Amino acid sequence: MPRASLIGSRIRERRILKEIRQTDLAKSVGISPAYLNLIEHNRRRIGGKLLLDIAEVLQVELALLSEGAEAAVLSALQKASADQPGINVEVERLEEFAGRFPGWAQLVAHQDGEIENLKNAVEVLNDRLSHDPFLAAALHEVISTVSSIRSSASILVESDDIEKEWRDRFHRNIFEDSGRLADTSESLVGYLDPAQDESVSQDTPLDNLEKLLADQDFFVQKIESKAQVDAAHFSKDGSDKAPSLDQPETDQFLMRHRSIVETIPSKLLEQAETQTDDPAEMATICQVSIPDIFHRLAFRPVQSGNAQYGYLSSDMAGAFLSKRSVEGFSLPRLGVGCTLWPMYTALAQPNVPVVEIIKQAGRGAEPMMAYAIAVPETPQSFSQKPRYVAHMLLKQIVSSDADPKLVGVNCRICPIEKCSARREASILSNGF
Amino acid sequence: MGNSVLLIEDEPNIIEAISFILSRDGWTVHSHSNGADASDEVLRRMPDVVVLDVMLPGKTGFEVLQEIRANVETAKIPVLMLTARGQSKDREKAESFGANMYMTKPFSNSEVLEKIKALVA
Repeated sequence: MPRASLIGSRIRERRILKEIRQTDLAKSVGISPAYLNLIEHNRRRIGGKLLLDIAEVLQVELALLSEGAEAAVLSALQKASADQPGINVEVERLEEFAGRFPGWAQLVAHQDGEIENLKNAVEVLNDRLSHDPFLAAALHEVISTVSSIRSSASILVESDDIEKEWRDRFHRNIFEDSGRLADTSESLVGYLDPAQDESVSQDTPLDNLEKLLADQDFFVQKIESKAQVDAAHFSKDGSDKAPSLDQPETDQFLMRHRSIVETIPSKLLEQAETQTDDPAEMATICQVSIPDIFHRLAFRPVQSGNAQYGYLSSDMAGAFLSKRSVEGFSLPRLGVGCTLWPMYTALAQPNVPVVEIIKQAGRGAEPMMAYAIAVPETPQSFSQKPRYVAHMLLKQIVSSDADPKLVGVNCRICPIEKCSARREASILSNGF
Repeated sequence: MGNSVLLIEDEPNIIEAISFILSRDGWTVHSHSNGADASDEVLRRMPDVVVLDVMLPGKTGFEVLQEIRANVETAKIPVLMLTARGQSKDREKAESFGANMYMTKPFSNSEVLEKIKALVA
């Protein structure tokens, strides 16, 4: 039912809330109770002076009666119902619900948002726990050392006739193992509790670089204006909370970025964009490589009218080398991505551009036009085999005639069932 | 008893403790600490029982177990898997690859001894 046609329901709700009898309200505004009854059941249109009078008697804002619940609440409620497809929600009565019970509606909307935040947090933590090589190695070390201590200690306790040489040896082993255990425990605590050592970042160097670039809207003004910039440019922002930088990665990025900006100045990029939205054609117009145009599109000023791009590059082992996140496409914090991403297809057919419409399974994902290509990062040589780097540009798309290919973030947090590319069980499903 | 055990484990103090317990019980104990050539060592020693850790440098215990079972000469040697991982899926994996018994760390000495004895009984 249209929002305006529910004015009667809102009047009825407010009247009951104020404990005013239908007869009394009708009398106050000079209409018959029967007519008010028709209005309250949305069988008569209402507006003008009569609506003003009713709002005055009910002591509510006119807009609350005429417009009902705010669009944001309605949108959040729609999302809440979509998030629980297994529950048969009366979607057609959403506005009626929000209008009659605004407080409850806000509560449902708020809780749905909170649930989403918590789910995201759990996903991030699970991703981290299951892919963190330091944690896995440290826990294995702890259990192995504890086993050794327990075994040696029980020999000392249970063997009355143990020779002195063996006794001394097991004492020494326990002493050594307890030292190892203390060291490993200390480093684990320090790792899991950032407050223990604030100088130790939980993020990878790539994460830190991306955060710093994001703080500047992925736009290094000084480079655009041809000034010299190095890693110190980021760390001198006066913020104590700035992530610690791994300088080699940052300097390497800045060197490449400067070179690309010099080759593709903003005006040239804008000219290319007016002619085509195909990155390969843009590269031809700008007389640069496809990876360079990917980089330039991803790391440039965020302005209204500009398409928003995400970008990823990875080596042949799948490790990320550079990234720029984009809303609607999640990147794993550690480990590698989904094998179904076009960038990995590109690695299997170097120098051949690949384009696909993809969408990640799960919440908040948006369809993306994914352009990918793998090119050698080493100079051509008869004496050295090439090492390829895959580049992928992600462009948000509003709609498409073609169904997007469903992909994941990575297997560990991927809800796609019976995926032929799955290499490990997901914490979100029943596994393989 | 004169039976022999090959202990494939990369933690030297665990090797020492288990070796001590088994030696005192009359077993001949050999140890090996690398997964990469562990199955060759099994073939060379032909022990009565193999105690095999899962987390090894070079190759995992599961891979070593598969190699032991794939070789007709070593295929029937009883294997006790010893690992820091206590997850049921690891136990299932070990059993599916042909482990005769499975123990998780930290273990008790008496339990290790009992299981090894049971494997040759």
